[in-house]
This record gives sequence, structure tokens and C-alpha cells, in this order.
Amino acid sequence: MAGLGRKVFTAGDVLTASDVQNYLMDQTNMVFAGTAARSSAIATPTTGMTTYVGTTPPQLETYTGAAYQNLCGLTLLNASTFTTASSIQVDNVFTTAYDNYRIILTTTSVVTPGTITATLRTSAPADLNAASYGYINTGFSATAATTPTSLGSSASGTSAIVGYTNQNTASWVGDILNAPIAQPTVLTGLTISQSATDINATNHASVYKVSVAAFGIRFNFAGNCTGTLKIYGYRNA
Amino acid sequence: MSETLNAYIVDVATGEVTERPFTDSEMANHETMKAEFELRQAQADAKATARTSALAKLKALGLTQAEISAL
Repeated sequence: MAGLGRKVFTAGDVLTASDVQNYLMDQTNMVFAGTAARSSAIATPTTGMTTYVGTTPPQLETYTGAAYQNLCGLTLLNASTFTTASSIQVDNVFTTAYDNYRIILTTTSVVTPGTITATLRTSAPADLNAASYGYINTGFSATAATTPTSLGSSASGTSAIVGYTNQNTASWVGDILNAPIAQPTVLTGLTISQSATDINATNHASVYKVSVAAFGIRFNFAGNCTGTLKIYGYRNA
Repeated sequence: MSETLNAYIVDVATGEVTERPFTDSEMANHETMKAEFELRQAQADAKATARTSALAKLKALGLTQAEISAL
């Protein structure tokens, strides 16, 4: 079992099987190919046992007495690289293992300027598309060439506008609160995008006003683009 | 010819990744989104044009740039 602390051996001590098991085996960082292999190897974990699970992405987790958890802040749950896609959808990524989620969405090419919209997803999976998204965007554009000169908006619809893209690149960094529980889900974020002649930045806040759990999310662009989407989980405590 | 739009879908529970063209329903949603953006863009452009016109009229009335900026 873990939790015995550290034993100081002295010359001539007898190294017992119990000492090897409890001080060494159960208090080292154990490495497993997946959570199934871990469950098979450790039928009854004890508090403090720490494992490296070589899934994609890998997870370094400690057993708290109730579950294996990453105790060290953000945990990367999904990293996707997409090419020539206008819609990027990640299902079953929000679970009760985490309270909140950080999303970093970056594109290296945006052919068609326009909005970035977000739609939350059920566990089915299916869209949460009741007309119950409320959102506000406030922002600025350096020029009026190809982007909205006034980015303020407030409306409800079947998805939330979470930002605006210009040509070339766009990045959205945001947090999602209350996703895996039956509460209104909150999205907050910041978008910045640029072209050769323009730059715009948008602050975003939105809420899906129905008290249901969300398990995934889809982002839509005005046209196909290339980029990456990373989703991290983190806990309140 | 219009661009073929594609969907990139990941199911984290299964690890399955799907890449496919938009369905008819997704295309319809996309057109709605595009129309909303174009409307918003037109409103923003009209507002910018009105502002430029208003500033020119204020200047013609004799206001300095500093006075206009103070408004």
C-alpha cells in the first residue's frame, strides 16, 4: 500500500517482501499502457498511488481515495490537428472528472473571413441546439477593409458566435464552465485574427441557458481552414 | 464553383476520428451563419460610412480635429 512514507534502511537490515512491496512498489510511479491495464494490475488502489498511463495524450495521475486524478492543474484531454475543415467537433470530452475546461483553437489559414460559432453537444452525441444561446462579443478592428468595424453583438440563437476571423490566422482561447453538470454552460474567451492589412480582437462571453450537461463542442468557421484544437481539463480544487 | 466544406469529428471516448464533407443539414446551417455575418458586416460598413460622413461635416463646420476628438 502507498502512504507509508519513507523508510531509512541501514547496513545489515533484512529487506523483506513487505518492505519492497509497500515502500518501493506501491510508492513508485507505475507505468501502464492504459486505464484497463492499470485496473487489472491494481484491483484495490490506495490513496497516493501515482501512475503514468500511456494513452493519447498520456496522463500522470494520483489516486485520491475516490478516483485517479491529475493533481497538477491543466490536463491535456484532446489535441486535434485538422486540415481543410470548416467544422471541428470534439465529442465526449467533457466529463465529471473535471470541473472546467480550457480550449485553445488556432488556425494557420483562413480563406473566408467570418464568424466562429460554437455549439455544445450531448453525450448521444447530438447538438444542444435549442434557441437558448445568449452571447456578447465586444472587439476592435484595426481597419475596415475585410472585418466588421463594430464587433459588438448580443443575441440568442442555436449556436453562439464566439469570435470573428480575418484572413490568414485566427486564435480562440477560452474557458468552459459547468459543462459536465446540469447547469447552464458558460463560455468565455478571446479571439484574435489578422490578415496582411488588418487585425481584430474580440472578447466573448456566452451561456447556454438550459440546465443540461454538455459533453462536447463544435466550432464552425465560414470556410475551410487548417489548424489545431487543444482541450484541457481542470478542477475547482 | 463553391468550396466543398468539410467536418472534422473526434470522439474522445472511442478515439475515433472522422473527416467527411458537410451534410445537407450542415450546409444549411452554414448558409444561415454566413447570412448572419454578411448582415452584420453590412450594418458595420453602413455605420462606418455614416461616421466618416459625420466627421467630414463637423470639419466643414469649422471644428478642429482636437475638438472633434473631444466629442
